[in-house]
Amino acid sequence: MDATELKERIAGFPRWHYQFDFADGISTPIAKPEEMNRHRQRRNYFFEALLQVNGGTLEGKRVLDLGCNAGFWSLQAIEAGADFVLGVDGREMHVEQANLVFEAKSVGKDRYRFEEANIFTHDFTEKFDIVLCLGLMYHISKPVELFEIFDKVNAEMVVIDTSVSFAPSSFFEVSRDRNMDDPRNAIDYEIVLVPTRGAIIELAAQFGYKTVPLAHNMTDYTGMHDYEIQRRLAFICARSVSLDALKRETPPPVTPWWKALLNPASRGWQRAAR
Amino acid sequence: MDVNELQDRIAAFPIWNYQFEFDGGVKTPIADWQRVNRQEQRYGYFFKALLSLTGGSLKGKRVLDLGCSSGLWTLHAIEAGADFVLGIDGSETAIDQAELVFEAKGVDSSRYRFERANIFEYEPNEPFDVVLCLGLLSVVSKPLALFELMTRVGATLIVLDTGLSRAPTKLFEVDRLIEPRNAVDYDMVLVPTRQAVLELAGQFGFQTVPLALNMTDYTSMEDYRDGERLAFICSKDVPLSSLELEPRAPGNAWLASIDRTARRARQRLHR
Repeated sequence: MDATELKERIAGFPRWHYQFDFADGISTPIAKPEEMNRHRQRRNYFFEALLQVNGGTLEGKRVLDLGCNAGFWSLQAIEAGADFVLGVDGREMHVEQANLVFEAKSVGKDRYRFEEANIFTHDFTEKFDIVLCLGLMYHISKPVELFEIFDKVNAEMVVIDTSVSFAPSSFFEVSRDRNMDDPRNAIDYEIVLVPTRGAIIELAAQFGYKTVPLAHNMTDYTGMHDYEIQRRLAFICARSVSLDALKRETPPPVTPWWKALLNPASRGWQRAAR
Repeated sequence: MDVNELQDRIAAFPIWNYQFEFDGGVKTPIADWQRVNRQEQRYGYFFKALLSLTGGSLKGKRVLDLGCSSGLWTLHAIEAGADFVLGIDGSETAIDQAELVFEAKGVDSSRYRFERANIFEYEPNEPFDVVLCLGLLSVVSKPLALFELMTRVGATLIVLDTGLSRAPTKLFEVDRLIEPRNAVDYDMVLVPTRQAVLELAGQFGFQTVPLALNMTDYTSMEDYRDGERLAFICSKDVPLSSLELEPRAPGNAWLASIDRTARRARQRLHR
């Protein structure tokens, strides 16, 4: 593909969420430039952690990227040496963008595939070593079914990057994806279940995964307000690989509201009031 | 079936959760006699509410009972005139008991069927008007899938009786069943709050009324009394304005909801 054709095909899409750089100084026009820093920081955050527990490379690994968008993280996996990546997304435009990116980057066609599918109705028949579940979990309403996919593809390791509820307990907050036309949002229901840290850890344990909520290592929080206020977090889940080397996040301090609720004295009052 | 045969077949089961009474004074031996009050009160609570919406009878209705156990509510549906009932339960014993009960009650076999199945793997191929979803939602981990199933069968009325988290906001609390053998899929379950039930049913196009408690005796009904259990009627087209709404629990009850120990103790009490 020559430079002119690539430029035209890039321009053929109404919107790009990620910046990809190609030869001859060609880039995709990222919708929010302030998010350049966000994606760089996220790479240093959870993707480096993934590489760290895999000995610095994904060589020999098959990777499944759920909600792959334009293939940004799938490409990171390929560049980190992964044997094969399957990217799945509910939007046709994302699958077309990802295919264009991989073609322009000249990734061998036997090393990747992108599919448009609803992950909850898609029949996953292949096995994968690693699942990337980035920015997906708080857009869905079926957290248990999500883990059933990890289990079905026999994943040893899962990277989950998600918005979390602030609460220090174990539950899913019922929320709504208000704008279902926003291509990043929910694909089947407007109602979504946003997990707390505790809920993710318990859910993963139900499926045999140990989980580490990753300590932040951001050097600049530009375009990362959600991470900055600890409303968003990444987790690495593994079945047998040791995660001891990873630094764990310290959860935010319990707010006065929560402290009052957790106060044993008021619990006694509650019982007396019945 | 004569009285002796019925008695023998009843006695062959190690435990009965519900008391059924048959001709000749034969009864199933219920393990906890206090639960007789519980089932009477529940009948006067949500089952009466259902009948009040359908003109006092279920005539002409096809009823699906999800998690039917030994068929107590399935039988109530038949006795209320339902054309046909399908009861589904994951327990082989429960299905055998339900079939014995319906045979001993002389219910025409063309009016009912019981199937042993995991409800999340069950593929319905017949429509239903009414779904009974009693004591099921709070012991599963897939609330959306449960509503997908109830929607798929074409139900326009659902009676939903469920354990609740008492948090004063819309959420599903992660909890564990202390008796994993009761689990449909996993011993990890998602327990809804009252508001979560309303949101969930709303997502599938149902109007929902949390039913006002009307119990005359709370023996063995502490979970209802303490806001840890409630019944809802969800409707697609039947107006629910005649039903009395349960007033919202005070917000400070949030506290008990994050203390899972209390609920587990209660689960033990009610198993």
